[in-house]
Amino acid sequence: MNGRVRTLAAMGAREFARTPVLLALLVVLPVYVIGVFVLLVDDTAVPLTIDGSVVNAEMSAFAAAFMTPVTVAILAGIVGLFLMQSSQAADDRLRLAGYRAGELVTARFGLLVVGTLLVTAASLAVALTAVTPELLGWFVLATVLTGLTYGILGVVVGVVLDRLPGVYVMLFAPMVDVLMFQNPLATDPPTWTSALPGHYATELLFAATFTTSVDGTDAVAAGGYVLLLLVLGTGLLYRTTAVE
Amino acid sequence: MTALGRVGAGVRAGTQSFVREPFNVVLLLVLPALSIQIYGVSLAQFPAVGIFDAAGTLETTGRITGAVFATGALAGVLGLFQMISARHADRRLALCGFPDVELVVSRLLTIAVVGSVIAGVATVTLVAILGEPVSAAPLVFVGLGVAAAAYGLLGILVGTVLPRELEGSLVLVILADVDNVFASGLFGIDESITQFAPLSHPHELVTAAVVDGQLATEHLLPAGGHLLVFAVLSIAAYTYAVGGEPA
Amino acid sequence: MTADRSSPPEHSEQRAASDIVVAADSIAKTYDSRLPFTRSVEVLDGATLEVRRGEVVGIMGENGSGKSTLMQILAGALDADAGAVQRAGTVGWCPQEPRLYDRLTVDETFRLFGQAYGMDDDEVREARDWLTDVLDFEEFADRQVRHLSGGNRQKLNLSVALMHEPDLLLLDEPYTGFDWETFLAFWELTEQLRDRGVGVAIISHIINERDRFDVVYELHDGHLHRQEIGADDEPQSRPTEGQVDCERTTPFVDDDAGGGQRATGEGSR
Repeated sequence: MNGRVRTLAAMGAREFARTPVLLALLVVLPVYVIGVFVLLVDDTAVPLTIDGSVVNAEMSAFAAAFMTPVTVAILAGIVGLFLMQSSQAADDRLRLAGYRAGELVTARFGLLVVGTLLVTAASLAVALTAVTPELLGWFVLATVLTGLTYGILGVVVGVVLDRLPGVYVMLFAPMVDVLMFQNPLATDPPTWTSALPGHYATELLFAATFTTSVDGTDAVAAGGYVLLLLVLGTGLLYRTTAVE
Repeated sequence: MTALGRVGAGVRAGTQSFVREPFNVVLLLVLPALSIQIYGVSLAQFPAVGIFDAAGTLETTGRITGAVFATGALAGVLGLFQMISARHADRRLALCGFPDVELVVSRLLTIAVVGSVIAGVATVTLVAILGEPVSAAPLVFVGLGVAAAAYGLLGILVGTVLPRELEGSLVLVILADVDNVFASGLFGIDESITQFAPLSHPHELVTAAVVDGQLATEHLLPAGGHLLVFAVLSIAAYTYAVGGEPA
Repeated sequence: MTADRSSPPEHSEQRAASDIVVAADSIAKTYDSRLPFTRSVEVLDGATLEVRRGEVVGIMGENGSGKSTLMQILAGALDADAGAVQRAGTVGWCPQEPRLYDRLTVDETFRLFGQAYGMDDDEVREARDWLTDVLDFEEFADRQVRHLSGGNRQKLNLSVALMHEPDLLLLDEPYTGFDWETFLAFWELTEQLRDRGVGVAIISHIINERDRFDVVYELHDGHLHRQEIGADDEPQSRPTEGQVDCERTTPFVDDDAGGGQRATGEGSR
């Protein structure tokens, strides 16, 4: 990382750190969303369909595991969106002043990773009080992959859509994908739901939480999704920041 | 100008501000249909027994849930953006002599007018998508109207405390999401808890209207209680933000 | 004023082309509406101008006439639909809206844009000390942009355009919100820059400032009309096209031509 990228990333981090309300929400909302379900659900066993097999789990453990990717997807998406929307006009000026597109893209994605790790850490801190995943490392990886998927989608949406439509797409899209169509309580999910961005990462997450082995293809597919979006996001960012 | 004329002008201005934002109109037309359809498909994936406390088929419950969510979210957005965009202009109006009380009434009436339109659109969309005859469509409208009123007021409250597009929307939509999961019966949380979720009573009102064609009278009082609490809180917040003194 | 206003205006072909720091030729720009049933707005239609080293050029026109659009195209921040812009040397652009990072401090803004311009730490420090002193806002070094007053934000906006001592300065209403002292300091600074050979283009609304410019371009119906200050009293009736002083056949104010219509049959490039 050269000095110019370092300066830009450091300044971006300072900007992010100076949004105390947003930062507080990124930490408090996981406590609210995950915590409230963990506390309030009945203490019963529920049948989960994971990789085609049925596994019984405690409702509170299921709620903690399930609400983690939901929360991380929404919040990482908002981080991605914020990174784009707070800086687009000034980025143009910075590009005209001499920053190269590659430097800007590197700094912005670097910051996105930091932001995603922040919301992931906050969510895991709450979730892990209520659930002990069978394979913790894979569980964490799956959560990070969900966050990155939606974080980059937030960047893409931030580039493509205006401010307000962008906010609402990024608030509704992860909810529809993860909350409504990646729920392992479902016994009969439509096939097309496996094409949604959160599918493979959440499959990996549930397998890591409630079974003793994970399907490597889920990990590869989830990583592939992140890479694909990264390429798309990078291309769009390059185009957006293109100046003479 | 008389008080009635001033309030009328205030409501007209507030309504026009909402309608003149193309994004609001798109959201108004698209979100109910999308939400009703998606929730319908989503709940149909689940086993028909067990964790759900559903009065009708799961698909019908899903569609009702989608209608209630869309109505609440849209009305919340209306209340939120009224506060974000109009608080400074409203303060200026107050300084120019527009009485505080009339400003508050104008804002609440705007919520009522646009909220009714939102509930109306959601009712028509729900009845059309359900595909089965709904004998008590006006009662569906009542239930969705309560959802619109509750979230319109909550939107004002959130917009006063957090007058920012991104952060305010985030809080509002997360509130509506969690509230709606409670109200839908998903996760089978005990009713002694879910009754405090603002959307739970509108959900029951709409369900009774769709499934039984009846008014769920036992939910009217708690729904009214919610509205009263939100009205008091949002009026206090609004007068604090705009006038600095109670109206 | 350092420019010799008593000498007759030179014709452009007599002056060295190498003096030109920015030349815009037949610029056209239309804003298309993204919504159905709403109008597209034609803003620029064959606008042509040039700025030379050591020349202070004013761009004037009614509200909404397209001055800021023209400035963004000159700076390279916006693509024209047709026409060409050629720049020589480094550019400093001061947009109407500051386009700065709201949550960075004044100091951090200097550092970040200094990196962009390829300046080292000492050069950035020198530039910062010079500009905060001249424009009198040293005491706000640690304040975030969003907490600056309108006038101080504008001082920073201008400083970011100036800090690397560019060959061409493009300033879009640079003194909005300035107090009188700063306003005078700004013009003194502009005179120094003119002496150093910097070409300066300034969008201005203040009609009394005409005397401060060497050349004024009036933007009207998408065309620019050039006037050399001290040489003639009125802007040329014919818009500039192709070359800045080319002849046109339709008068400046021509109702028949219609808003934004090209006055001649020449196609845009």
